Amino acid sequence: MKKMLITLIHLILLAFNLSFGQELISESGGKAGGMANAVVTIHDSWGIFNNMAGISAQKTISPIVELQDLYGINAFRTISAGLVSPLRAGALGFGIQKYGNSSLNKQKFSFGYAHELAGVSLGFRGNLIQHHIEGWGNKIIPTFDIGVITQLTEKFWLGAQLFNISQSKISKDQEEMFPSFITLGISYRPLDILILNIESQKNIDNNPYLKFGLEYQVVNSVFIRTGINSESWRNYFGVGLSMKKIRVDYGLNSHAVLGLSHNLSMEFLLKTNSKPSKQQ
Amino acid sequence: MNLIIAPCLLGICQSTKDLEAEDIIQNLASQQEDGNYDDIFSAMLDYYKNPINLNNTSREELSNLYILSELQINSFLHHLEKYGELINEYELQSIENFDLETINLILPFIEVKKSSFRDGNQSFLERIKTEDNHSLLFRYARVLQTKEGFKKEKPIEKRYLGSPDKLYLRYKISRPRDFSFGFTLEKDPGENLIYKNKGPEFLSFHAALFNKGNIKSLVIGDFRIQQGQSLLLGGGFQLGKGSETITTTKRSSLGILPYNSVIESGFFRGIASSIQVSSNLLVTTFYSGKRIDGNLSVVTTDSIMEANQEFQSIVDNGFHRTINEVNKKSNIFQQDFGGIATFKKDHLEIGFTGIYSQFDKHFSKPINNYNQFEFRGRNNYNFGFNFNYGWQNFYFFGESAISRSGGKGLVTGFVSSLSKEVEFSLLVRDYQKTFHSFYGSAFGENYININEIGIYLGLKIRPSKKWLFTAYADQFKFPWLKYQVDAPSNGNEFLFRISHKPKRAIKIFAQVRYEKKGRNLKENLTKTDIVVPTSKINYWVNVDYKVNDNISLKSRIQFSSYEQMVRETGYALIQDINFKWRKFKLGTRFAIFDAGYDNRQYVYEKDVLGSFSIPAYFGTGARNYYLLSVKATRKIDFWFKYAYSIFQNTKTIGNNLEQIEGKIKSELKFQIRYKI
Repeated sequence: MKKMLITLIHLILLAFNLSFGQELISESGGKAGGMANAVVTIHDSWGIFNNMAGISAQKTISPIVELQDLYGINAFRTISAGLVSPLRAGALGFGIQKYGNSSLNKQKFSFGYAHELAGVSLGFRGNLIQHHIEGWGNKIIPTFDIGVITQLTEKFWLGAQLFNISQSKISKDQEEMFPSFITLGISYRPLDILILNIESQKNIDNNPYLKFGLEYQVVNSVFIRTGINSESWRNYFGVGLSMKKIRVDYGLNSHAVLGLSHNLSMEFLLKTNSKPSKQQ
Repeated sequence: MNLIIAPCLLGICQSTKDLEAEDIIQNLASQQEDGNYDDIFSAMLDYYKNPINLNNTSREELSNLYILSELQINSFLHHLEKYGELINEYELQSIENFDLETINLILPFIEVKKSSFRDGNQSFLERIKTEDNHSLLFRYARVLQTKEGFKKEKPIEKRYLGSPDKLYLRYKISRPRDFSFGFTLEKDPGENLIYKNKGPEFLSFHAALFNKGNIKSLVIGDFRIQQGQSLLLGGGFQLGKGSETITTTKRSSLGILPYNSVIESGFFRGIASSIQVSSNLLVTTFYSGKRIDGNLSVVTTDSIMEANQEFQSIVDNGFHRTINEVNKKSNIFQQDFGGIATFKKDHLEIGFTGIYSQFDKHFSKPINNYNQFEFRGRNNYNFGFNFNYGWQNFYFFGESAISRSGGKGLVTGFVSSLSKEVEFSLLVRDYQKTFHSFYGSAFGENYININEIGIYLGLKIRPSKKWLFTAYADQFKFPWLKYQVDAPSNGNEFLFRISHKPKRAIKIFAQVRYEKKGRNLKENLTKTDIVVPTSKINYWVNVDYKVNDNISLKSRIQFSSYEQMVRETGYALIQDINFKWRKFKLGTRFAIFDAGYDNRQYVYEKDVLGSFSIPAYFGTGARNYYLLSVKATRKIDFWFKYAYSIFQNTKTIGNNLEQIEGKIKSELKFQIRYKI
């Protein structure tokens, strides 16, 4: 009965344009969850799951963990964990994400490298994605992503992400592709404490849509965020605490019909490296 | 106005203040769609005629200009605190976060006077005698074609009783923060000048005193009250959602406002006073008793006592043109009384409001599914709480209230300047389906604050002097049915506008507005109505070009699409040419439109001073107007407007009694103002 219910909910989600393939491809981290996933221009450790170029300015060895709760349904949870470390040149990251429950789940292993060259941050990432559906079996597919971030002018930044450029297929027989998409974003940062992002995302199979995100540093260690996307007209709100050794970010979004989703993440800042950074 | 010695400040000479102010008001207005903007216009005009003294003002007053950002208001108040009173307007340039653009915009509405200067040694009577802002205004308007309702051969019950003329007369003398006296007389087309030999068709009168010792204000006659976020008392002029996405989000507690508009509903008639009990506490009390129009239930037996009489609806359009409409006039007596206590300390303001309203008859609106939670009965009361709090560059506001039914309403949010370039606003509201507020007009998608939950986000970015981006996104949910929406529904709306000013004389903007809502499927044949998503997209492109001191141009393209299963489109192309020569101003318009009713195009039209119009263009046709304004003498101004529309593919215009035979509808309007 429970399985049937979950299958049914999946079908409903499908109807709302959130297909199976959507899982594990949307952005991660409480920051993304607070600003409508408009983070393609952001440099931080969550680049290992988002725009890979984002880790290029890494200063610390950072383990990260995250819990994403979709509409309060256990079967739709995503758990993520990763480790990002600066190298002598560039930065390296590793991440693992798990979505679903025992009857349907997916796991993703990511490994990537990012480096800044002549003002352009470039990132490359390889993933292995395992699909598991009870009674159907397992399937592992490899995918490959590229990301770029660059500062255009004093106040403007540009970011781009190509997700699954290899256009991997989920199943050879059915010609079903793993989703491929492009995200392009511009970030406007009139002050150090204010970030406004506008991004357009085009999935090969769907219509393009816009994402808008805003982050404001209220006081030294507290950030507030908001955002909205034009795909489902979800409002996003978030708050972040940044302390010396730990960062906690929480994001909340509301779908008019399906309800609330939550996103909680933590980042630990272990060892600081003296390497200069783009991030304030 | 003395042209020669008027000082030129920041590129704007005093002599052109007049023009600039009108332009600014019209600009603000022309960005809006639908709704009633008479009020806004006259309020802005009031500010123009009675400028705010910057040395004696408040946050509320400043924010009500809709021009300054939170950051600028803060900087201004901070400047005043730090350096004392301003010496003159030039000093504005030295205030942090003030730029020339902003200063030019507010100049027509402000003045700088030493705070002790104003009242001087003149006695009250002398001040009245010498007041400049003292005028008599008369307006006449008429549609030249004969409407169906004016045909004398029709039986009396099927035609209008009065003449097709619209008449308006207003007398007003006022001095800001001192006194205001005035009356307004009006008759709509089709109405008789005198109503049933009992007096004028519509008369509004007020006498008001301000700042006399502890008495902050005392008004006798017609008035309105603006308190908190307008959830219970929404008297001021307020802009709703529009291209101004930040400052329109919040409302200010303006207190008692004398009323001299001609909208024949929504105001109080009686007495109101505000008393400063202590330096932190202001107490306002009011009583109002007035006759309103309503549809009485048909009484079948004589035995029903007067007290048991019922009415089915309140008619608030103010028309009394036919026997049927005249019979509905003034047959309900509504009384309201209430009080407000406002505490103010530093950046915090807290207010408590209580209102009691009573009808002399029982309001028994016929029950339908959609309106079953709306107000019924003889009396209603409301209690509410509101607050404002300024913190850094944030300004928080909110109001919550409860009505007799137990229904609650809540509206809260903030506006903020995140940086010099970026302003942001957020507003959340939840008006329950059983919440009844007779005089409320808080922020919302619905016309009245009932049955609605929503989140609004507004953004305004000025990356450089030449560019301005504004946007809002609003999501709303109607937990219960609405008129012509036979299921709980939801929707969303967004607006995005880019404004560009490459030169001082050229202003360009492009705007897109999208709205999606649930509506009953049209021409549905099944027994149950089906609610389907219905969307409307509007695109506007507008160019204003001031060729030289004598000629200015305005070009506009409006295009829209309406989609409910099928997509329909409509458009309007508009070209205005405005001339100015010495004492004469001539505004002209040439417009072509082709739009169905669902795609009707709301277009702002220039009008005689104090009047205001955003008519809807629909059908297939063209429209022209010519508006001449003449400053005849120092005391006399007059205006003359001739407008006509020609429609294609039709033999009649309008419906029922308003119907005109033929393809042409033309209107004439004349106005004269005599400064006493």
